[in-house]
Amino acid sequence: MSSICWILLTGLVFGLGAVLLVKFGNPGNYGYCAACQLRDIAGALGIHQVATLQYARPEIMGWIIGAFSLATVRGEFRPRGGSNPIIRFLLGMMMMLGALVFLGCPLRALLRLSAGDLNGITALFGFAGGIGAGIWFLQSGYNLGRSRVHDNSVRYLGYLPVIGAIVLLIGVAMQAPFLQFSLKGPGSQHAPWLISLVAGLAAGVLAAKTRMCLSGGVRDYLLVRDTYLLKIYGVMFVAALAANVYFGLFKIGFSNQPLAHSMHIWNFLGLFLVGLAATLAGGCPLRQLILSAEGNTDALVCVLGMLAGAGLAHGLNLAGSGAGVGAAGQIAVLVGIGLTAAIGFLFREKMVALKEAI
Amino acid sequence: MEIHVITFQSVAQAFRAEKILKNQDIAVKLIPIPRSLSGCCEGLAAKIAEPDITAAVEALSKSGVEMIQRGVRVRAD
Repeated sequence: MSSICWILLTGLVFGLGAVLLVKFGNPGNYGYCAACQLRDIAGALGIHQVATLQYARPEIMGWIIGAFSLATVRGEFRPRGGSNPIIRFLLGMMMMLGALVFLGCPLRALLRLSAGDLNGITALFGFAGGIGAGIWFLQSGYNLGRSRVHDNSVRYLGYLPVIGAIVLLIGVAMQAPFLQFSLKGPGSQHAPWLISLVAGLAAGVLAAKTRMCLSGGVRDYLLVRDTYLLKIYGVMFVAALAANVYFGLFKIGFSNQPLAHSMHIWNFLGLFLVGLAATLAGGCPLRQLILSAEGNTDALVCVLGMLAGAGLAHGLNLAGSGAGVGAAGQIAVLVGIGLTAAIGFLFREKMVALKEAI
Repeated sequence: MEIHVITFQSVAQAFRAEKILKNQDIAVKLIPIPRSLSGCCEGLAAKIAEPDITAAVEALSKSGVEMIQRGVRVRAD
């Protein structure tokens, strides 16, 4: 199949899948979201205690099992890592913090926009700005070091995401007591688990195949004018927009949107932080989940950072809500941007003086 | 279609390489690392015509640019 077919197929599955999941019971504009759904998983595991945000979302398990299966079938499952894991953990925390202030990962920002939520535009401008800042660090020599294929027992950790996903999936299917389930609020709204799983599996296989990544897409465009990844999101946006209009879910405006607020500065800065951290980590939250499923232990550490970030954001009341972003959240975003920029600044390689070839 | 690429440690090294090769009149185009080459999506690769690979790798090693893949043939995306 040619690359244009994969672009169309991936965009369609993500765009239509996201809207259908809402039709089947997920909260509004919440079909797929790497950050919110991981936050709900953190809630189900007791990493945070917000009673309304607890459900081990099978969409994420589907992404991981789908990406793992594809990598295994194609002989591309190669556990590797060792490129500054602790920094990647911090970048994961920062990505989650920024996303929870805005209320969505970059994927959801676009899905929100496709349902008429104009706050998505503010956030996407912030996201692009953060990527632009990240690119400045990349061009200045930022580099977390090379990852290596694990040839010792660490390689077994490459299976951790898929094992975790299967255990969580069994837990959700059996309503197991080791998981918490919200009785009200967004965590209680979800499509039947089997539908969520199938939607996740299809999306996971395709995201792995195409290396779908929104921060990577903007980065590749700004750096070398490559539009492969952005085209996937273009197709996804059009598909989701059409489906939202068809199902009567499209409602244009800034206010009264599902799971959203209209504090423009903090929507902008929230996703600015995500864009900056994602560029320094080499991929947006969705991409980190897919990479971790393919055996990348650096991405796994980043995902663990995102889970911890969800705990921190809700434990310290930093996350945004329909009511907006509190003072603590505002300070946290600014501190987060400062910290992430410091990482970008400190991890520039010392370049050997350029000897111009004559 | 198959192409020949050189890959680097970092984005900054890729831009250095582009500058050096352009000074040497070797045609070069920076592209995202081909999907067949890396499961990871960090970084850029330099696409170079096959006859120029040896000269390009030599010029870059002389200038101290760290390369990972020194001219490998891959399927274009």
